[in-house]
Order: sequence, then structure tokens, then C-alpha cells
Amino acid sequence: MISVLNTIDTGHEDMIHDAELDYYGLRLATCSSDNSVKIYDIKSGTQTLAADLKGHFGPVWQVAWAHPKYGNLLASCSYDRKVIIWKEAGEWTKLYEYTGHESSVNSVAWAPAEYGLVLACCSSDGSISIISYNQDAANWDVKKISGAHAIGVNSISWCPAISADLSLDPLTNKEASKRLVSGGCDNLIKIWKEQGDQWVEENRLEMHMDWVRDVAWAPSLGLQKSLIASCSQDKRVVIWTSDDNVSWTPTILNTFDDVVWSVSWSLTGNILAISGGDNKVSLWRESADGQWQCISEVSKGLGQTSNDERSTL
Amino acid sequence: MKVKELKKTVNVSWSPAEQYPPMLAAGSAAQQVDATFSSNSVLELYSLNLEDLGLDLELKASLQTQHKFQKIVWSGAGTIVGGCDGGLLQFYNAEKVLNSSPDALIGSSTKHNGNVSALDINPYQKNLLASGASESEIFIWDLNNTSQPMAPGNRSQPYEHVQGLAWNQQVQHILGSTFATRCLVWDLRKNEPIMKLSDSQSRTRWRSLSWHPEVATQLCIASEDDQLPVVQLWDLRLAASPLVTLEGHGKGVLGLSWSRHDPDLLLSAGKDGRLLCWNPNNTKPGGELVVEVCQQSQWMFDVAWSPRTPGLLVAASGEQHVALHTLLGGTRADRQSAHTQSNIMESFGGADSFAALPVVTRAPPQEAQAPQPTRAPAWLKRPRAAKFAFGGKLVTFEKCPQDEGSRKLVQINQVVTEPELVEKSVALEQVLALTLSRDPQAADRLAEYCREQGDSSGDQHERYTWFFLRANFLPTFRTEVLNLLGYKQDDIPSKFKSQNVADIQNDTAFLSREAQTLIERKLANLDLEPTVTNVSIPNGEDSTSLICRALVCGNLEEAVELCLEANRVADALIIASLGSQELVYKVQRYHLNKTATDPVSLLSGSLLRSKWDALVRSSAPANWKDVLAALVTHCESDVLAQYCELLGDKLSEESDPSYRKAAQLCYVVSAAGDALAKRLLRDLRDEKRDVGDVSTLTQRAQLALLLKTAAEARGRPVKEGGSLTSVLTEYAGRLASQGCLQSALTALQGSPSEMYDRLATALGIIQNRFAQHHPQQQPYLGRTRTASEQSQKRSHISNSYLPNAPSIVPKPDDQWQRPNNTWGQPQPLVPQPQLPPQQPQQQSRPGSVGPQSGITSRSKYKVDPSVQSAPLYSQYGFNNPVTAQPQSYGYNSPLPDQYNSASVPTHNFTPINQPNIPSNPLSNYPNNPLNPAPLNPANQPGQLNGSYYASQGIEPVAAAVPSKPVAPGWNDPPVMTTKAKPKQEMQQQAPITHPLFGAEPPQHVPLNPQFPGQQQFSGQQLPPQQHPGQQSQFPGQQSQFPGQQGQFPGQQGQFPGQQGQFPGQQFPGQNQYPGQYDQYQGQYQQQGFQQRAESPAPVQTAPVPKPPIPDQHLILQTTFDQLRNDCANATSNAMAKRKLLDIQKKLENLYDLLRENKLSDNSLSTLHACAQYIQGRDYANAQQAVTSLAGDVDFAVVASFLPALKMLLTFAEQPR
Repeated sequence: MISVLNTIDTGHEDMIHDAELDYYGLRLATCSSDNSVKIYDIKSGTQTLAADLKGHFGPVWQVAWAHPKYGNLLASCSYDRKVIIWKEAGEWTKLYEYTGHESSVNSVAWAPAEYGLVLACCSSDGSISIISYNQDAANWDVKKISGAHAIGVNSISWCPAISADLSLDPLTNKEASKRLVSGGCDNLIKIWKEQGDQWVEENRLEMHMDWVRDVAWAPSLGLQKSLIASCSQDKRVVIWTSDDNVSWTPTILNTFDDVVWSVSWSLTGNILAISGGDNKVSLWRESADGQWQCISEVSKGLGQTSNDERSTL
Repeated sequence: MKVKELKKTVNVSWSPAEQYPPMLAAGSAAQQVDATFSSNSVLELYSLNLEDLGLDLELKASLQTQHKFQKIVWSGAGTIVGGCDGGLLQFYNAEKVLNSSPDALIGSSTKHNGNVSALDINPYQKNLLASGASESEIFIWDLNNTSQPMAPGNRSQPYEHVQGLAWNQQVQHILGSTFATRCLVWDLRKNEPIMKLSDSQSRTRWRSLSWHPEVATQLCIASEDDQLPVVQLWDLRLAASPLVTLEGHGKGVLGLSWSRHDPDLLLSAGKDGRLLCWNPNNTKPGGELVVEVCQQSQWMFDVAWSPRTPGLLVAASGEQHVALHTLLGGTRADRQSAHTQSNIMESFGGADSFAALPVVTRAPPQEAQAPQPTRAPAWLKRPRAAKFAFGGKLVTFEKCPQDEGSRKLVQINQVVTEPELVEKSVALEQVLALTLSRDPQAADRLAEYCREQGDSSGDQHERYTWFFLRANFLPTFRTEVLNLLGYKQDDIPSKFKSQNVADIQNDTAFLSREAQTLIERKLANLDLEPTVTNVSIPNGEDSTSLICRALVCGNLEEAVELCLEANRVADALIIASLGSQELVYKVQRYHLNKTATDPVSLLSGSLLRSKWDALVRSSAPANWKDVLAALVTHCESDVLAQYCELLGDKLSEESDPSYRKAAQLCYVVSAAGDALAKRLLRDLRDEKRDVGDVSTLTQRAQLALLLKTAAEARGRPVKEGGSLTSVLTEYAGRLASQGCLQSALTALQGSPSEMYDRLATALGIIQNRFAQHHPQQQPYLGRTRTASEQSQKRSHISNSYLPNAPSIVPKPDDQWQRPNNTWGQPQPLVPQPQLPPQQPQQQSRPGSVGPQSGITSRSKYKVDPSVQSAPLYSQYGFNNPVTAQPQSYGYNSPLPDQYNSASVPTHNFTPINQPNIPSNPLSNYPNNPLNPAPLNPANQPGQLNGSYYASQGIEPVAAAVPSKPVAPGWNDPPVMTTKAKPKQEMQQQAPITHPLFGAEPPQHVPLNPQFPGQQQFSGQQLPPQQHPGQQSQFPGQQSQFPGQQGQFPGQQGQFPGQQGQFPGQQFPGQNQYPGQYDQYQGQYQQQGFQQRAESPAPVQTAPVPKPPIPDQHLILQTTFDQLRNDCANATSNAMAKRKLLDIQKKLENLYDLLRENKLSDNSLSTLHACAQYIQGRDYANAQQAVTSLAGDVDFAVVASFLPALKMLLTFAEQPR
């Protein structure tokens, strides 16, 4: 079910923390503890280094490609408390640098393109920033949710813009509220909703017993309900479902052997890829009877994990 | 960042890591008296209350206790242990404390003497407690049975207070203990100390200790001596001296805590009020200070990382309070505990006056950011992830080995979760690709594909659906459909033989061939009858007489009325047909209305007036097949679709599910993709099935896709944006998610959409097309490479999202669609002449529409070149001796509209038996004797009552040579097999755009398929040039980025490849370190992250050249270096080599000191002496000399290189 297309030696000099393909799947952006962001052009089995972006002064945690209708934009966030939006204009240059956080910026996510050029980021300082590009004024507006999660926000994800209901004309749902989901060090997941020019906490979802490491709002394509996946230091992955985006029902997808680091939905929103500390990537799908089933599991021999254990004696 | 605080003088302990939610146990401190001098003593439990942004902890339970506490620990076994004065140990059941149960104290012991100030719980056996008190007493307790503690061995001499105890984090039977002058490590299995650590060169007074969380042999010990406020890292394997001494506190260090979440983080709390975080694994001299967590004026006497929550720590200070901090988080200046706030308010006169004060706002904290740890904590470092991307790709990476040179890999994987879908789509795509590439075989293949699908389907309804779909691709579309509906033409003749004519007409109006022959026979029979003679015409007052009289007088109208009166409808019709058309109408209407419930009437009325919607509406749902058959038989393709859809809609509303299935079939027949898609979606919902059900979706999407193809092939492109588009987009999304980008692209069939754009770009199609068409204007969207293009990009992009912006998204089947669109424009019922060649058509139109007032729909019928319906008209014309009537109602005249035949006007004058002459290329169908004349002046008086089974059919068509030339060149060789007919019929669609097809097609072939063969489309109208370029264009992309390869390797060279040892290398500022040793001490904050982080240039600056070492001391350098090199050369042990490297670095400190002349004369002379010993290979003496350095006045300075020098000499002493 899973076959390797490319193996890219990123040339990073330290741990990789994120790797993301662009909208078309033609470019790969990676970031690392070596403070750099790299961009590769991916062509059927081969890859070429297109750029090596240096501008962060700390480990770079995450990268995110903007929708191409806004140009070739890449956002990166780093331990150095900065978010940099890079733009390719012949060469890659900094388009904007956001320094509004007081601590490590742990996650960045572009809003659905329908909302314009909007970026959300969250930080260990406990706050979430929503940065939007104002086309008329040609500047960036910042809205901040302070104290979103005590002692830090780890992950953030946008609610898709398009209604789940295929039969509805997407245009009629233009007024659908913008929503965000965030996961934090207070073990909570929170749903934020834009009301007027404010972002307010609409819901807090309690289930995890340790840091929420990653949250992912499923693309709604073809699904009648909203889904959010969350994973945590408590080794569990929880699927939250809602018919109205207001009341949410949790289902524990699985309890793993180790910390779960990332959850990612397929673009069709029906497959969830889970990557955990046990060095396995597993794919899950909801069966007809509503049970989540592991449909594929891959253990990798990519890195010899025991090598870096410092244990002696 | 301080997140919580507790304003009490207490000792605290974290709840064990297993405990959820985490809590803090706080017991009144015995060491201090708080300002209230309260002798009250409590044990309290607090929840962290992190969800709340305030600074207050939430009190969960409070228990009065008899004694205050020196130390508190909370065991994973559920026991809270308090060490008190007077050798007292108290054991509490945590659960009961939490419930405020009075019997929470479950045991106590006074085995100890003095203050029990050292306690630790074994990390592996949660019930194992170590306690220490005065006179070197250490006990090991089993919390399950606290009566008999054991001692780890004999008490160590001299008797001293046990300052600290700590279990090893890796080996469960190892216990560390600190006394003021020494540190003992016990092996519980051996019942004796196995190691004694003491720094003979310094006057440390040990207090706390903490084991390395991962390296079993390493531990840190803190000295509370104000003269030597250091923390030392020791390794039991190199117990001679500490590995590194962490220098930063100004006064004695009291508390230590090593993070179990990141071994690179060690906290130390000091009497100087500072709480520092170190990386003890960095053995650079003085240690690596990571961050100063906080600073206060009072003693900071304890600190502990949360065992559960990374980065969270609790610190107890002499300022009467306990504070929770996070290592990260910056400042949160706006936070205040409710307590503080109310205190302040109170002092200033209460909330009211407080609120009256002017609002103050803090200056933005931008400038004064809190220091951030120089190194990112391990818990932030996501080691691995898997992320989905477009096309079912999954990007994965995982924790890679940290050693230098290990490759940091990212994998891109293809995920296929629906192999079946992939398989199916491939098959379908091959077929569809033929269509797109105008392969003449496409229709056949499509039909074949449908048949296969139908054959392989188990479900009857699905089989039907596929076969109906298949019919769409067959040249014999109508026949097929009728067959499927159960109207097998072969069945008819036998029926005829046994049934009377009227019945046959009722049931199978379309079967004119048989009917005609039968009628001929009947007529022939009649003719054979002897001529009637002697018919008397009555002249009375009865109806017959009156009618006769009226007829005789030529008063047709009256005769008709009388006939009707007498219920002689047939006579009325015949008479009416002699008069005005209006009269005929009236009679018809009269009759039809009168017999509305009669099925024959319903059918014939519908037929007559083309009121098919009435038929659809009036018929019972159960008769859908018959209605559908009638529609298929009689309606021209455009309206056919409309009526079928209408029928489908009607059935759709029925509650019986079988009708809903029938509705699907109707939609299939009408090739109404959009309606079908809607129906399918509704079905899915009705069946409570998720649209996400892939196999269902796939099957139905394929259906919809084929239907769309069919519709287009039949000249009725589906409008964009409807349900069909949704379904197809969804389907394409599914395909894309399996990596079948090409198939997905095919499925979209070029409808411009974001998805199309995405697929095409991903496949490299769009870009290359651009390259072709706009050589100097580079691709589009993200694919640009040069600055100028980049600047234009936005506009491009916005364009690209406009549907149909041709320059942006050249659709593979642009050519294909355009003609379709033009046909599509005329409303099915009101064809609008568009192109010049249609001149005649325009002329004829008025004729067709004009005179009609009553039944407008009639014009539809006339307009419709329906193959089937025409014969019926021609039947009306049967027996009509008159060639034509100019004032014809134009029944037939519109027919040519569709075919834009120049000869149309002549139609009306066509003698009935030469129907083909003017324009009908019937000659092309020599093999079809049934081709009736397309049109006849059926409405001429006298004609109407003619038998329905007109005579034309008899006429050998082959003889009907067109009297006028048909459009040149088209189908000249009249070699027409039935198979080939569709080609011919294509003209039905084609004419408007193609004068070439001006010839009129055979319209009135009841059994003739009307289906426009696909060959036609592909072959003629749609030059296949543009479309299928993808394949060849794609590879071209690869060569786009010349020179980039070159950049890459070069880059690697930029990094000197240092490991994590000097993190400062990432921060250029740190380069200045050597040579600044003096200033360095105590200035850690300034080296803080921020400063470095904001150094503008990330590029490594070349090290500032150092000043030379004074000549007289040069000998030292050469000697030591020489020795080091010798040692290095002599050993092959990697460990030793690393060590020597390390020594080299530290010696560098010495050289720096020499350069700056920072060493006292005394030290210098000792060093020189040492060097001489070394030259004399007298390492023992050299060692001694070095050791004596430690006693020197400038020890603090010497300490930076002394251990290294000692170690070097130790190396040198080893035999080689």
C-alpha cells in the first residue's frame, strides 16, 4: 500500500522537524534543528536542491506552503520566536518576518485560500497569532489570542472553508465561520471561532492526559461531518466528530506504545496517517460501522534509533 | 515564565509522573518560620490549574499535621512521605489526603536521629524509599512495610548529616548520597559504598545531587559553599576529578534537578536567589549556561522539574513562596494572582477607587524579551512525522542518528488505499482516453466497456444501468433502448398478425414498417372488394342526413359539428381535414379531451401535439417503461433528453425505491449526467451511506463520467458547476488521492477547475503548454523562476482561476468542447439558427411557427427533426393527392431547421410519394426501405384522416434520387450499412456549425438510431491536434534548473562539522568566547539567547586572530601540545582521542591566559616547572606540580585548564 517514490538526503546537519510538499506535490520544504529551511524540486524519483533558506537562529519547527494563487510563499516558524514568510521571486527572500511571540513558535498553518492570505501560528508563550495580509494596505494585520493554552501551544489547524455537504452550493456557505483548532501543553484542545474581529474560544475538548502534540482538522471533501484528529504525549490518538462544529464527540482511535507525534489527514479526509515514537507510520480509516481500523503499518529502518541512545553501563 | 505561585512557606513535591492530573504536595516547612510565626502545620495538595490563566493553584485538600516538614516526597506507590525534625518520618496515604480523610497518616517512624532532610523514591521500585538524617544515617524503606528499614551499609565515617540522597536513574540498586565533604555511591546488592567522590582540590560543601537521567555513571553535585558555589558533573569512571564545573551562582547552590525529558537541562537553585538552567553535558570550562530562569533577592532553596510535564518546574524560595515556572514562554507581565491583585486593591482603597485610577498600559514587551534558553529543549524537537500531500503522497521522516555525517533523510511515499479503484480507473481511463484522442474506435470501446461492466455486475439494476449506458454509445441507440425496455422489434410482427390495427398503433406506434405492410395488405384487400354501388344519401332530419346535407353544401364546419354530435369522430376528422387546419385541430382536441383517460388517446394525443410532458405527467409511474419507450421512439434527441429527464424527475419523487432506480435509468437514457449525479447523491443519502464509501462512489462516478461523455458525444455538453461536476471532482479527488493523477485529469475531462489546474500542473502539463504557446512568458503559478515573472505572477494566478480562461488552462479538449457548446446553446425546443448557412432555416421557421396559435408545442414537434416522429407525419399525408399547400401549417417545414438544408422550403411542395426529392438524402440509405419522407404537408386538408400507415414506406428508397444536389462531398458514396449510419446522423447535430453537413439526414426512420456516432465527432469536427501532448511535454521539465546541483554540495562545505558541543557556533556571537574568560564569568545572561539570536549575520565570521603568546611562555605551548600530540598518536582508542581533543580545547584556555598574561607569577613558574618535567618525561612530578597549582591563589582562573592538564599527564603516564 505504501511504496517509496523518493528518498531525499536533505543534507541537514541536525534533526529534521518537518517536511511538507507544496500544493502540487512538486516541491518539498524541509526544516531542521540546524536552523535552515531547504526546498527541493521533486521530479519523478529525483530531487534537486532549489534553495537553502537561512534566516532563523534556532531550530525551525515547521514549514507551510501557501496556496499557489498567492504566489510561491513558504512560512516557517522557529524556536527563535520568529515566523518568516519566504517568497520566491527569482530567488527566495524574506517577505515578512513576524516577531510577535515571546517564545518558541511551534506551528504555522495557512488558512484555507478562500479566506485570503492568512496565517495562524502558535507559540510556547501560550498565544496564537492570526496574521493576515491586507491587500489594500499591503501590510500584515495581526490578531492575537493571548493565553490560548497555559504553558504553550503545540499545534494548530484550520477548519476547512468549504461545506461538507456536497449538495450545497459552496457559495451559499460563504458566511460559515472561520474556525481554528489548537492543541496545547495544558492537555486541552480548543476550538476558536472568529466573531467580528475577535477570536473567541468556542469549545475546549478534554480527553488527553498529557500534552497535545498535534491536531489536524480533516479536509471535508466528501464527508458529511467534521473530523478533528489529535495526538498526544499520552500515547493516544483521538478522533473528534461533529455535525455542527459545535458539539464534539471523542473516539479514542488507539492507544499506542509511545508518544504520538503527528497526525495528518489525506486530502480526501478519509485516511489518517499517524507517526509515533515507536517509529511506525500507520494509516487508519473509518470502517462502515464507525470503527477506526489500521489499514497499513510501516516500520522503518531508516534511522537506527538505538544509535543515539546515550545509555551506557 | 512564572505560571503559578503559592505564597506559603512550604516544602513541595510533585505528584509522581503516573498521577493524573498532576498535583503538588505542600507541607509547612520546618526549616523556616514564616512571617506569621505560625506553629500551625498542614499538608496540602494542589492541582496545577493550568487551564486557568491566573497565577493561583487550586487547593484540593488540606490536612492538619502535628509536625512541620523538612522534606516531602510523593511515591508512585501512593504514599506521601514527610521527613520531619527529630528523626521522624511520616507516611501518608495520598488518596486519603486527597479526600481529606482524617486517617490519612498511615504510619510514622523515628528510627532516624536529627532532621530527616534527605528523601528519595526509587524510580524503578516505587515502594523503595531512601531516607537520610543526621550522623550519616541512611535507611531504605519498603513503603509497603515501614517497620523494618534496612541500611545500605555501614554508616560512613566521619558521621555527618546526610545532605542529599538520589537513586540512580538507570540502575535501580545504586544510590547516591551526599555529605558535606564527600559523595558516596552505594550498591545495595553489595551493602557498601562502591565509590567515594571528593574534590580534594577544592573546598566544596556538598548539598544536593542528581543523577544523569540517561548516563548511569554520571551525576551532578551542588556545593552550598558560598566561596565555591558550583555544580560539578562527575563520572564514576573518571572519578579523579569532575568532568566539568558549572560556575554561575554567586552564592552556595542548594537545589538541583536534572530534567528527565531532556538530559541537556539541569536546574540549580542558589542562595543568591538565582535559578539557573545548565547543559551539564557540555564540558566546556565553567559549563554551559542555558538560561537564567529567574532571579530573586532571597534564597532559592529547592527546585524540581515536573516528572510529568516537560519544561514545568517548581521552585521554592525564601520569599515565602513556591512558584511554578515554565522553561519557555517568555514573560507574561499581565499576569497577577487574584490574591496579589486584591491585596493591592485593598491597600489602595478597594476595587472602586482602584478602578478610578487612570488606566496604565505596559510598554510593548518587544524590546525587553525574556531570555530564552540558548538551546531548544528536546521535548520541542519533533523527531518524526508523516504528512499527506497531494496525489496520495505521504512525506515521512524519522529520527535520524545524531552523529555527524549521518544522512538526514526524507521519504516521499505513494499511498494506495484503494487498489480496486486504481484498477478500475485505469481501465476506464484507457477507454476515455480514446474518446479524448478522437479515436474512431472510441464509441465501440466505450460500449464494450459498459457491456463488460454490466456483465460483471451482480446487481440487476446495475446491469440495466450499464446496458442503458452502453446504448448511449451505440449507433443503434434507440433500438437498443427499446430492446432493453422490452420492446423488441422482433416480437412485433407476430403480434400484428393477431391484433387489429388500432391496438397495434396503440402499443407500438413506432413499428411502422410492419404496420404499413399490414395496412397495405388491408387496403389491398379493400380494393379487392367489389365497388360499392347504390349508396343512398339520406335526406331527412337524422344526423346522417344532416351531415350529408352539410357536406353536399360544402359546409364543412357544420358537417364536422354534426359528426361530432353524432359521435362520428372518424368522419368528423375526415371532413375536417378537407377544411381549414383549425377545424382539424378542433376535432382533434375535442376527441382527445373527450377520451383523455384512454391510453390510446393519451399516446396519440401526445404524439399529435408533441405534448410529451403531458404524457410523462399523466401516465402511471408503473408505466415508466412504456412512456420511456414512447419518448425514445418519438422524440428528437434534444427534447428526448429533456423529457426523459422529466420522467426521471417524476419517478425520482416516488417513494418506491424501484422507481428511483427507474429514474436513474431515465437519466441514463437522457444522458442527463447532472440529474443522475443528483439522483445518485440523493440515493446515497437515502441509503444512509456515506458518500465516502469509495466503491459506491467510484462506480457511480464512473457512471456519471461515462454519461457525461455520452452526453457530449450526443451534442449536449453538461453544464459546469452542477452536481455532476461535484461528483466528478470528487471522483477525481479520489483518484488523485491514490496517485492516479492522469486518470483524475481524464475524469475531469478538461472542465476548468482548481482541481484540473492542480492535476495538470502536478503532471507538468500546464507549464509546458505555456512554454509552447508563450515561449517568453514563463509558466504560471508557482512555476516561475525569474524575478520579473514573479512579479507578474499574481495577475496570472488570478486569471488562472477564472473558468475558461483559455490562455491559462488550455484544455485538452478545447476543440472538442467548443463545437459542442455551440450546439448546446440553442434550447432544445427552440433551435436558433446561428450561422449564415442557415438562411433557409430562418425562412422556414415562420412558416412553422406562425399560423399556430393553439398548440404551441406543436411547433416543437415540427421543429424537431425527430427521426421517429416524422414518419408519423408522413402518414398524415397519406393519400394526399395534392402536392403541397403553400399555406401549410408548416408541420414539416421546421424539420430542415435542424439540417439547414437549403432545400427546405421546397419541402412543403413535395409530392407525397417523392418525399426524398427535395432534400432528403434518403438515397444514402438504400438499404433502408423504411425511410419515409421527412415531411409532408400533413396538415393539408384532407390529409389528416389518412391512414396512419402511410404508403411512403413502400416506396423503394433506392429509387429516390435526390432531385437536388445535396451538400457536395458529404457521404457521396451511399454505402451505408446500419452501422455506418450514425455517421450520417451526426449531421443532426452538426449542421449548425458545419455547412458541410448541409445535407439532410434521414429523419424518419423509426428504427433508426438517432444516436450520433462518436466517430463523427472525433473524425470530423475535432481535429485532434492539440490535445494529447502531455506525455511528450512532461519530461521537458526536468531540465529546468541548471546549476542547482552545483549549489548543493558547496553548501555542505560551509559547516565545519562541529557536533553539539559548541552550540554557540550557531550563534556567531559565541565565537568571541576564547580570550574573554574573565569577563565571561557571571555574565551569562548577556550571552543569552537573544543577543546571539539577533546578531545580524548568520554567516560565520572568521575568528579574530589571537595575539601571540609571549615568547618566554611559548615553551609551555609547544611542550603541552607536543605531549598531547604524542598521546594522540600513541592511542587508537576513539574514546581517548576524543578526550584528547577535549584536552586540546581546554589547553587553549591556558594559552589564552598566557596571551593575556592573566596568570600569576607563581602559577607561571609552576607551569614552567611542569613543562620541564614533561620534557624530562617525568610525568609524576609534572602531575604533582600541576596539582599544586590548584592551591594557588588564582585557582578560579587555573580551573579552566587544570583538569585538562591533569588528564593529559594521566594519559602520558600510561605505559605505551
